[in-house]
Amino acid sequence: MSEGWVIFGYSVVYGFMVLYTLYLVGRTRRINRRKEG
Amino acid sequence: MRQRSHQALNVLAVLAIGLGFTFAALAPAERTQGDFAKIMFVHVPSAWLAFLAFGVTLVGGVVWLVKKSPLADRIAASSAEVGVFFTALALMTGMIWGYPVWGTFWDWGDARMMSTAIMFFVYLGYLALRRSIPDPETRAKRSAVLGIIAFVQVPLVYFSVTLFRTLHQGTTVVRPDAPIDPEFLRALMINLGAFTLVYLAFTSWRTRLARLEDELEESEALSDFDIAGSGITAPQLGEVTGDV
Amino acid sequence: MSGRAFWSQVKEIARKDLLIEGRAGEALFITIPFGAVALMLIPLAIGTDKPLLAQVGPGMFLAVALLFGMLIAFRQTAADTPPQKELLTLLGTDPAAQFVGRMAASTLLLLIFEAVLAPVTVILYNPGRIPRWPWLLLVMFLLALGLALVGTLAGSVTAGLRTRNTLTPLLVAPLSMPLLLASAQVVEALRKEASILLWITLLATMNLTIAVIGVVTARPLEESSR
Repeated sequence: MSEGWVIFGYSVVYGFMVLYTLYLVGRTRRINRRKEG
Repeated sequence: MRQRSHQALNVLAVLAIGLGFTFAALAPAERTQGDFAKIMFVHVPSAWLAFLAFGVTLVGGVVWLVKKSPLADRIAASSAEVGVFFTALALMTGMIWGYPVWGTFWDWGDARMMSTAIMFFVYLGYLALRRSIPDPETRAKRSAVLGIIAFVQVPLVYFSVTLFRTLHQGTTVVRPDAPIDPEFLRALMINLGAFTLVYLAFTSWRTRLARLEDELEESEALSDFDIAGSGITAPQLGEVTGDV
Repeated sequence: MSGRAFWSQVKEIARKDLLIEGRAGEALFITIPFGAVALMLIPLAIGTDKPLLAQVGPGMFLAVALLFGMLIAFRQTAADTPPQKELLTLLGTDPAAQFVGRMAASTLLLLIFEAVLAPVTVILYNPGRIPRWPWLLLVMFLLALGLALVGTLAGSVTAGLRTRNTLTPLLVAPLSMPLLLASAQVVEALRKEASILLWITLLATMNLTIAVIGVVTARPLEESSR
């Protein structure tokens, strides 16, 4: 049981890091598009 | 920071996380909690970086109040956003760690979790405040003041809950404050370094994004209005003859 | 600015705020009944079991005092409109005096709020006699003061914003948490015949900290509110 929990915990952490990165990427793209267009 | 150094920082952060994970996986199982205590390698750094981030917000705000530097304000705001991110991580991992031990997701006597939860809402309020103020200078000023109040409150919250716990003999602190095993400590330190790089990568990216957005807003605001008197041009000498 | 001039300004500003509240203000008229209704709704939600209510009574009073009292601390009439602000500036009022005066007026209003809701709580929850209960009066004062301090400061930070009514509670509630915890712990300590010194000190410390921040940031904030 404990191993599953640990894996879950790490997945949450790394998963959110990926999500935040995607958020930054998305927002950067939007700004660049607005700057050109 | 230039584009290249941003990308380098991002790559470095990813590599460091990978390294941190490796060391975490390889670290020996802890004596009392087994593999389970390894959540600490992501929980403790998250909490640390949240505090660091809000400290940067405090400093950025104070620097802005003194020097009125827009960069200071952008760094403060970006650090707050990343700080909220790490606070959320700290809360989630704290609950994941606590559940099998406490039997519940929340332990009311835990001063650190309580402080972290309060911090989360306070800085959420900070971000909400910033979103409500369109004028950059007013926004910077009021955020700076809130940043000061918020950071000062955190030790007060922590102290009050610690006092509460001491008097109530709450559930025993199961988490070791200082792991004795040197390999454990090493894995913790490496992850702390990795998370710090992630913080730096995210915050510098977010700061750059803030600058781009501010520039865009400024240029858009200017283009909306005709400059007064733009209908009149100065007399152009030489045009009459057709000479260029 | 001389000490006497400062305090006389504080008095004038506090008097002005109280006058406004007395004439056209509705903070007390609305918030006190609101608080009373809340105290009535709670047992319907958690159970009307007498021992339970006797146990939670004082705590519910503190929670309602905090959550609803904060509305008094940043009531609309406590925010100056731009013309009012300009007038105060032209008159040369010290922003710090404005903060302290406003905060003092709010403290008084909060004390009234608490004074009315305390008997309501006793009636509805019947908490029974608390040993050394006069200390509760000190707690009520420190809680009112602390809430007025945080609320006034948060009110200045959100002055003029469209989302002021929803944003300010979000800011005040988590920041006031130590006030609530300390006050509640005083009640529990009194019930257990234990020492309340640490909690009173915590309340006083927090109030002092916020007061200092409020005074120091009053001028910078003032210059921005446009």
